Amino acid sequence: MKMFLVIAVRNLIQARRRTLLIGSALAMVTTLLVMLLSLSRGLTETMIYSATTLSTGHVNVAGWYKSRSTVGEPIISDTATLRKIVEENTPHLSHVIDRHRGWARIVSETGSLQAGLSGIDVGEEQRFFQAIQLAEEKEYKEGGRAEILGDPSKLAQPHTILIFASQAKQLAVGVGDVVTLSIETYSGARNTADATVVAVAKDVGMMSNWNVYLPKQAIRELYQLKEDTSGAVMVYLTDVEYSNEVMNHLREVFQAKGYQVMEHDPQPFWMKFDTVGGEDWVGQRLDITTWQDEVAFLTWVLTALDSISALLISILLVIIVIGIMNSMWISVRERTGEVGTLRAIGMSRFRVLAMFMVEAVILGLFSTAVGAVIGASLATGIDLAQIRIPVDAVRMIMMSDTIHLSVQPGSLATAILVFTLVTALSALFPALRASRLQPVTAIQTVT
Amino acid sequence: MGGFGVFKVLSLLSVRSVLSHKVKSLIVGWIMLFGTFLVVLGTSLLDSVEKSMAKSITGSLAGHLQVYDKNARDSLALFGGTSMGKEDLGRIRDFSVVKSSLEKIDNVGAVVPMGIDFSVVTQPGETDRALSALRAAVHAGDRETMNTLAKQVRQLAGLMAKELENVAAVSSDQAKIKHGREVLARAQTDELWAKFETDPLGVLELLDTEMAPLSQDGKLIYVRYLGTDLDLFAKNFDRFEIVDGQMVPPGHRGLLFNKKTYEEYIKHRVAAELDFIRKNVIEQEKSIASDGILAAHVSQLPRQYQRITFQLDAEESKKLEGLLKAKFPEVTGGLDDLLKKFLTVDEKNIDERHKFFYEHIAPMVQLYDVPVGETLTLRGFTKSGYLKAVNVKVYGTFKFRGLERSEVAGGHNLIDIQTFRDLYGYMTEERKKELDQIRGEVGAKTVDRASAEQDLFGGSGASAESVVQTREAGAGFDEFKGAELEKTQERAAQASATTFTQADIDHGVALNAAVVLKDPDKIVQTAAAISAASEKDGLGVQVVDWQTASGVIGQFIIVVRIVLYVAIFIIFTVALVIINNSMVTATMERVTEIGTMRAIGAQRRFVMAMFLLETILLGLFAGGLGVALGAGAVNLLHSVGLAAKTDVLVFLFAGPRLYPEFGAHNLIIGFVAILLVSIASTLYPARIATKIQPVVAMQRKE
Repeated sequence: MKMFLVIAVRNLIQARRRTLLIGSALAMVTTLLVMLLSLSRGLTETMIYSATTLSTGHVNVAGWYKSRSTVGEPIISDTATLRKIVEENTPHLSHVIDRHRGWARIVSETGSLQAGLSGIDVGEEQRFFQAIQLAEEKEYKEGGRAEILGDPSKLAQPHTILIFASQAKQLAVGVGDVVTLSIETYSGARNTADATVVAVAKDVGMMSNWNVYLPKQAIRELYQLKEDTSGAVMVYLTDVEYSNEVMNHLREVFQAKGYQVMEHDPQPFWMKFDTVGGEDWVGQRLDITTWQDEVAFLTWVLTALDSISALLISILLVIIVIGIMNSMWISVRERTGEVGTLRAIGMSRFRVLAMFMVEAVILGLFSTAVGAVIGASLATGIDLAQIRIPVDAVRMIMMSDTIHLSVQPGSLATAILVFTLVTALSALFPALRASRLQPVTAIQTVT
Repeated sequence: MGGFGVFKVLSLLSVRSVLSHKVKSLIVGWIMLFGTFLVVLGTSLLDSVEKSMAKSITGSLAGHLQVYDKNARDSLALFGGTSMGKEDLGRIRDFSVVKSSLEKIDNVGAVVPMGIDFSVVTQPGETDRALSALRAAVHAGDRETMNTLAKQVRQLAGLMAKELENVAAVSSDQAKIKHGREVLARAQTDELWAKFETDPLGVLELLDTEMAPLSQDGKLIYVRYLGTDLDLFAKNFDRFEIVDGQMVPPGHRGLLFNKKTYEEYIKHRVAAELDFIRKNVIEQEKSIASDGILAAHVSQLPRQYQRITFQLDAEESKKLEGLLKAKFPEVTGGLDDLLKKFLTVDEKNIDERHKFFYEHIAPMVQLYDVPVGETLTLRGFTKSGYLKAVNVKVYGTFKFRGLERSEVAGGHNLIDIQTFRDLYGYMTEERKKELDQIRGEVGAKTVDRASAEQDLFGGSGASAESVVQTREAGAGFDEFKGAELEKTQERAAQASATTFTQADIDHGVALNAAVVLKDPDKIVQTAAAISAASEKDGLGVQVVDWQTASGVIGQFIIVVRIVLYVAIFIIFTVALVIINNSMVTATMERVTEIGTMRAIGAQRRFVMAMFLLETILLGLFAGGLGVALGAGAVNLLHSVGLAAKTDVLVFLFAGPRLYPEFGAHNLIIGFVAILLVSIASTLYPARIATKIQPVVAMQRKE
């Protein structure tokens, strides 16, 4: 084996130019693949991060309450019991919170916007407050001070609200100002309430445009709901990967306990009003979903990115394969005499084949490793540089203001493995050809 | 040797070399061919998409250019921007000034005033409908109908009492629940209905004010609309076409629903669901089992049967039951079970069920929540958050030709600009003064807790003209304002009855205006002319082209273009390296040949020229073939058409299929790009070749 390695390395060094060129092409494509994979992963992470910070748990035990069969509202009652069941029956559990849900028009003196309401309990929202950052006044107010005003812990007091910087800009309000919330109920009634802005947070991607936070009590008052109601029990797990498994498990648990659980509908809750409103039951039913369901309207971006990457990489692979085959052909031709001699002194066909394959594999392994390292460092660099995305549409697609790339050891390994394999496969045909050379013909063809 | 002679020799040498190094030529040629093919196909497709998207955008809403307030805080995004609120576009105070100034510019064909906004429509529920019918019967003195309807209202009260108990389980407002219980109990007593015989109007008033507000079956519909000079719009946007009903008569208030919105959101839920499933299964050939969302729609459909049964009277129920019984003799239950069976669809039966529904069931139910010809009350927030209500008649539905299926183009309904102005809150000067006065009196700006609390409990069905007025009434804390609803509707009705003139349309506020050009190719010059005119006449407007004005969707094509160019660049870079590699190895094989040439007197320049010519020759051949193949592929697509699989694609393709075309520039770009790449990749191997010393060549043994 050692001999093979020595021969292979010697050959590669001898054909330096060829090795370098093919190697650099391979490395380039690997770099590209690693970066594309990092982008896709980065996007997924942004999505998970934004979604699970702002609007969904890893798994949600939400539900619909229907006072009559034609109207459904996203409410759960007897929240304490639901939470207890979740806490006792969830594997990989990190923690559980619950939030009220609502939809309101928020009006200031100069502007208005439409946003989803999240009713929170400050005491249990450590995760949320760790994830968001407060914005300096100048970020949302022209001529504002470069200091952070406001205090999110004040959300414990009634009639308070936390909004995000771009919302503050649109409403032209700052900490201490009062906004009016206005909701519309199914009977056509319009309820309003005032709230004082107690904190302005930095935007969390595009999704934060659609959310504001206020004390649970405020939502209960707006919708005139009882103490023990809520919108959704949000379950956070030790690892987001368990989401599906836990959802299915909780589904069984609640069913076994006699709860009416709705069929799995992989869409965000706000897209279900119409269908729920048309079903023939009344009372309470649970709707258990994962974070993916709640952002289902965004996943097309990932699909698109992955398909474009796949297409691009396969086109490049075709070109690379041709290059490698060409290079190996030439290598085989140049070394016909050498091969003949080796065969003549008793080297088996299989060993000749292995000799060429080892050469290809070493070339592949080395170049892809270099490429992967370059790709990983580039990706990390770009991520750290926090480059601002200049085009609105791209910002919207990426759900973030800056480019976020995330390098995964797994994706590096995949890139290296796949490309080395491809290199080996494209060398197979020329190598087979070399192994079939007759010693006599081989020796006769002296270069 | 003269120049021509050298060239001849060079050419012969090159051709011979290309032919003799078959493997190298094949590889390099193939990569060149593939690259050219990709460039031609990619850029042609993209250009075609851009052209068709331009058609979609300019022909539906944007015109070629858009003007709007120079000091707008947000930028214009006709098809939706990135924020959920209303964009702050400033305003064009007096549209007529802008219009007359711009119309003087040469290439300007028309200037159409516009404004985008959205409102809420509350559709009355069963209770409201039953009560209005009862009122009509009382007025008509129709004893028999009165009795039937009275019985129905009484039953409804019973049903509502049950529902109220469900509400009670989650509601915190026990006072309201208690009051509701009393009202509904009273509505079911013999005593009340005995009184109805003697004093029908008195009882009706009571039911209207007390019972109706307890009903929860109204439906909220969000309507996004574009307010414009409808006649001018129809004339200048060639994709606009009336589908049902008629055009709003000139000088009248009116709403035209976009057919897409109408079919998806206004249509009877079951019908819309059947359409959706059929479209996905039959047209888009999706499989129910593998598409999660489609599967969810399918599995939910049978449970929607009540949406049909609730709308049937006894006779219709019987008829439908008979029909379905014949269809499903194996079902033992009643109409509910039969309908559930009917609505259980799969890939095989959906087409037939769809047909059956439209043939037999659709005529019995109200197929659209808002039928064409009906007047509805639009309730919107003015920019500063006040609530406004305007009655407007639905004259019909329209579509943008070719964009029938597009979600993006289908999101806008059309309304006359006067109604838009009323809803948006920019009114005539007198109206503004009047409102300012009221605002001064009530002090609406500083809303204290108390009045907010009142709003919390009050403000039932009333669609007051503005919150200012609601608050005024709220001072008396009247829990249910059913009576007020009546009054407001009358007032709104008056407003909508008044007609207006062209001068009214022109002399007023608009948010933006579309400029339609006579010659779209001169868009840049005309934009400059408009900017100059704005400067000169002090119009205070900025001008943007259709692509910028369209918002995110317009930028989409830029994103795709960037992605394509980056991809082509990467592919070419890799191709360059690979071609380079092939060339270098090929050069190494020709050391002897080149050395010999050098030995018999060939200059370095000659060798270099030979190599370059060789590549160019190969490039010409392979590139030419690639261009031809690319053009062929585009042509093939042109004759077959590229199907738009998703709604966004329908918009981008300006129709259900894209028929891509190539222009000369696509071919030239592809050809030139590949020649440049091949020349670049030859430079290094050629340089190696020129460095070969004759001696080296001779030393090598053959």
